[in-house]
Amino acid sequence: MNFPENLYYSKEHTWLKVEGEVGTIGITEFAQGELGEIVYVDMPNIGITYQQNAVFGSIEALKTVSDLFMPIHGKVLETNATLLKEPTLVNTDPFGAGWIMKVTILNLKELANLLSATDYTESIK
Amino acid sequence: MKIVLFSDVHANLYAFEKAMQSIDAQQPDAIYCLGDLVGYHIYPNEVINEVRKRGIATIAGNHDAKVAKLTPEKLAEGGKNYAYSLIGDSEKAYLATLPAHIRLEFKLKGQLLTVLLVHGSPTSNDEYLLADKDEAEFIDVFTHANADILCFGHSHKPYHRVLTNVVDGQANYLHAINTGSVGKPKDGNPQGGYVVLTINDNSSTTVKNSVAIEFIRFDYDVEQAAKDIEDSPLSNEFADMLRQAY
Repeated sequence: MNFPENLYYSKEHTWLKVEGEVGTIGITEFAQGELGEIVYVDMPNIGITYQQNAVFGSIEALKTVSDLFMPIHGKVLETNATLLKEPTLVNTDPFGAGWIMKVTILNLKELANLLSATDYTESIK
Repeated sequence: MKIVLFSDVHANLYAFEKAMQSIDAQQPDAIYCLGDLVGYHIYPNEVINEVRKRGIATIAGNHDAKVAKLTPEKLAEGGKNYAYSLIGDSEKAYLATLPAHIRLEFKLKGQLLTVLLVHGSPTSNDEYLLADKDEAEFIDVFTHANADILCFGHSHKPYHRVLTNVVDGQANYLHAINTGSVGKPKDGNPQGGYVVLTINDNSSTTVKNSVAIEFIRFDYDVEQAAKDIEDSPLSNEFADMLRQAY
């Protein structure tokens, strides 16, 4: 399993890509593998603000439902509407086309609470 | 007897009213609802109260079960949770006491035929039993649940699949029936849908086509239902999902 070096990772298996004040969020390759075939991604409305570690949505796989946790304090800018038609993009391309949402990051200091690719890889061993 | 099975109304009153008209015209002997009366639309109380008025036996879907777990903070969050914030106290109390399953046991010419009604699967209202499920795994689901005919919703994609389970050299035909959805179809056809299941005195697991299953689709005002979503705090994507049935 490969975890891109340029991303931040949470212990709850979300990744965060930071570009200025905009953060893109998805779930990791490990998480999608554990969940199995994804059937529905429940995403929040634009404009809602979530604290770091708050539940912002859920993912429905064939056999289970898993909450999605915010990697950082942020306000929802955009959600990936393509996932409503093609939820399995989260399985096939979790770090790319399977992204879940973009947020305005409201507290960049919280990046310190997240893991590097190396530390995340260690954490799932 | 003629049994109507419907599921996944999801607070879509426009679809529900048309479903009731269509179902009444069928003159069924029994009507069962397989859950998910609420979520995704703005008329949960109207739908619940009509279901109760009609005395339709209903099981709990994952959305119905979720209502009791939502905190005041989550309900106030808006977005998709707006759909649950509309539910009245009496309606919440009703949802909280819905059963997980309904089991119908027929004794036909001395032989037992068991119909199990669930929302997602016999073990979870969140689990999806999709049409392409592995045959052996699917048969296991029936065996563990002690069911000959398993009826469910949840995926909003209707199908009927006959599974052949050979026991001691005898073929037993098991029926997996997904009713589809009244108020939020996801099979590319925006019409609402439900199922008519007919059990005869000759119905048996050993006779392949001895159970009649008919999928009914009906028109309703999809555009008005979609506009009501757009005029509410719910995500406009839910409106698009109704128009295009995904």
